[in-house]
Parts: sequence; C-alpha cells; structure tokens
Amino acid sequence: MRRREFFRDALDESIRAAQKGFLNLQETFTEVNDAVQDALDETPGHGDFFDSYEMSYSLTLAYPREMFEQMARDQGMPFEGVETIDIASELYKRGVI
Amino acid sequence: MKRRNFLKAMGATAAGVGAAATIGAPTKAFARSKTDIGECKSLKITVLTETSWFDNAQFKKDIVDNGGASTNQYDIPWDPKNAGGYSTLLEIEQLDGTVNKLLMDTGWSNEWMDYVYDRHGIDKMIESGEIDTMVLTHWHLDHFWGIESTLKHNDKIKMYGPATMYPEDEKLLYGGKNEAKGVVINKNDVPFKGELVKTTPKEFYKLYPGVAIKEFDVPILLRVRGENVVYVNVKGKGIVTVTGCCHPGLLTLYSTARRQIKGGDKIYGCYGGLHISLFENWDPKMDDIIKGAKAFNPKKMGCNHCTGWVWAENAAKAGLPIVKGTNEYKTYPRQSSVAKDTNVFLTNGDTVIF
Repeated sequence: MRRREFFRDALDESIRAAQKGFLNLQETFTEVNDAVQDALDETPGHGDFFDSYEMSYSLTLAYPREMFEQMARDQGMPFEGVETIDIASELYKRGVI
Repeated sequence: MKRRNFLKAMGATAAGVGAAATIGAPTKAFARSKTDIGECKSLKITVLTETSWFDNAQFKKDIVDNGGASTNQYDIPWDPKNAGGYSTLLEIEQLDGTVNKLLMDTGWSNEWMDYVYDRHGIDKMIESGEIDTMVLTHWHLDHFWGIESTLKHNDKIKMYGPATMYPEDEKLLYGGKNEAKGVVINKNDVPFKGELVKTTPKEFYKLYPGVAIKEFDVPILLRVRGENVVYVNVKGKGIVTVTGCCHPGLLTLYSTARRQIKGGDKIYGCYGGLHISLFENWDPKMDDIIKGAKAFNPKKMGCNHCTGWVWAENAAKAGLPIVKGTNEYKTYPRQSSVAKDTNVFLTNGDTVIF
C-alpha cells in the first residue's frame, strides 16, 4: 500500500466511525427526547384546557357570559367578579359541563 | 399556563420552527418521532351546508329557556323551523390521481339535509358507494340528528364517531326517536347496520394517504364531549385541519400537528367552524386567537358555521388569509340571519381547494 492510499483509507475509516457514532448519538437523543416529550404530554396540567383562554376559547369565549352566570347561579356558585374561565373550570370540576 | 406565557411560548415556538427550517436536516435528529399520515396531492372542500340553524336568537332562546347551556341537548324541545345542519364533502386527490370522497357530518333537519344532498348529488354518491365513509365530528344535534338522510341511501356506510356517545345517540343511530317535553325532536327510521369506529384520543385513524382522524376529548356544552378532527397533509404545502366545530381550539390543533404529525411543522390552513364567536359576541381576548393563529403562518383559512362573522372579519382585517365566499348561498331556499355582504365565510355551495 502506498503512503497516500494508507492515509486515504485511514481517513475514510475515521469518517465512517464518526458517522456511526453520530447516528448512535442521534438515536439516543431521539429516544431521550421522546421519553421527555411523552412524560410532558402525560403530566397532569400540561396543556390543560382551562390553563388559558387561548386553550379554552371554544368554550369560555364562544358563549355569552350570561350563559355561564346562569349555570353558576343554578349551582349556587359565586360569579360576580369571577373570570369566565374560572367559572367554567369550576363547572367542569363539578361535572356540570 | 398564563395568557402572557402562552403567547410568549407561541412566539418562541414559531421562531424555533423557523430556525429549524433554516438550519436544516441535523435538527431532525432531535425531533420527536411523529406519526406519518402520508401525503396527498390536493384537497377540495365543498360546503354542502354550514347553516346549522337560521336564527341565532331563536337557537340561544331555546337553550336559555330550557335550563341553560349545561342542559342535555335531548331535553330541549328545539324549534323545528330553525333546524338546518352542518355537512361537508371532502375530495382528496391522491398522488396517483385517484380521488377519495369523504363525507363529514350529516346535519340536523332531515328535510334540509334531503334538499342539500339532492342539490349536490350526495345521495347518489352514497348509493353508488362513491362515498362509503362518513366522519361524524361530534354528537351535537346539528351534526348528527339528520342521520336518516344519510342512512336511507346506505345503511352500511362506514362511520367514525367519538367513543363518548350517550344512549340517546345510540337510540337515534340504530333506529328510533327521541322526545323532549312531549315533543318529538328527532327520528331515524333506517337503523344503522354498518361499522362504527369509536374514536379515542390515543391514536390517529388513517383513512387514505395524507388523511387521518384525531379525536380530542374536550368538554362541550349541551352534554356532549369530544370531537373528531380530520388532518390532511398536502404534499409540498403542509397540514390542513378540517373541522365541524373545532371545539378543541384551532391553536391546539395546530400545536398537535406540529408535535405529533410528520411534516406537521408546516401549517397550510384550515376549513370549518372554529367556534370562536358563536353568537356574534366580541371579546378583546379574541384578538389573542388571531395573534396565535398568525404565529403558525397559515396560508389559507376557510371558516364558517360557529366561527362568528365578527371574528372572521377582524381576522381578515388583521391579515389572516381568510378565504372569501361567494353569493351562492343566496340560491339556497333559506339563509342565516347573520350572513353579511363581507363574504368572510365560505357559505353554502362554496368550494375551496387546498
């Protein structure tokens, strides 16, 4: 083997090894990331419907306030000065909605 | 998560997606493994009917006068003259040129739905098997109670519906009628004999390449729970969400696409009801939904039904790509009392291609 070929083969081998190492690293990171994401998704409270109006607008903003007041009144819940999202959340906890 | 944090996160995520796109492939190594729903060439939507009811004030009065929004929908003697329905035809062109036709929802009034199906030839498509599947988005009256109009053309049509169904829903589906305060509020003389796939949030239900259903378990008023959403992945363009009412919330749907669907970081648009300003009420917080939607950079948004004309008008003014409808709806025998000349809704008879 000539000197130039030796160095070329050695370089190719090093690149292959580095690629393999990087692929293993990728796999490990992906698995860890998946596990973290799964844990986050399953954590109670992560992305809960009643966390914000942006999450719950289809319920908490879509209907007139008076409808929530009617439901709260029927439940004997205080509603004056209470945010609609908090009324809705409490109604949900009570199984009303 | 508080409101400010939510919007901050939304902006940060949008920036992150932009950065990821710029940096290129290496970042994919750290992406969560996502569901591959495949790709299709295009999606054509035909608005069969989005006028679930014609008079907003009467619909609201029926709810308020009968115990309020938490009342079971089967306990309200709804004004039958106000009943219309929601139903959509999806035509999905595959990469090889074949076209799949999918029906979404079956409306409320049988009389209205029979007219709508006849007008668009849906009755014949169901009879011939050209349409052999229906996605029921949720069990609300205006999406489901017109079931007889579908079943009389094929009682074995395959159905996907949220697993969260009640005995009254089953009674109607499998042949029967329901009464509220002595008044017959719905009926079905054609018992369902096909397969009902009861959907849950645990998985994506793949229908065709590029098309999948995802169920979201969310609270809905009138004693209904859970909604199916159709995700369509259009090759080279991105994800389109097709909804009945979008009770889970548009921002949640887009976030879910980004986190769980391969290619879902590219949002192309949406079609359907967005459930924002149902009774045309306006709240300044609704501006945040506009800002949130803009963060996902959608290219085409077709909305109607429970979206609220007021929200669609404000969204269009704020620069969201709201697709305007035509005056075709005026050729239907009845129109919604809240329809406006701004045409920010895709209304009855309109089409849009994604």
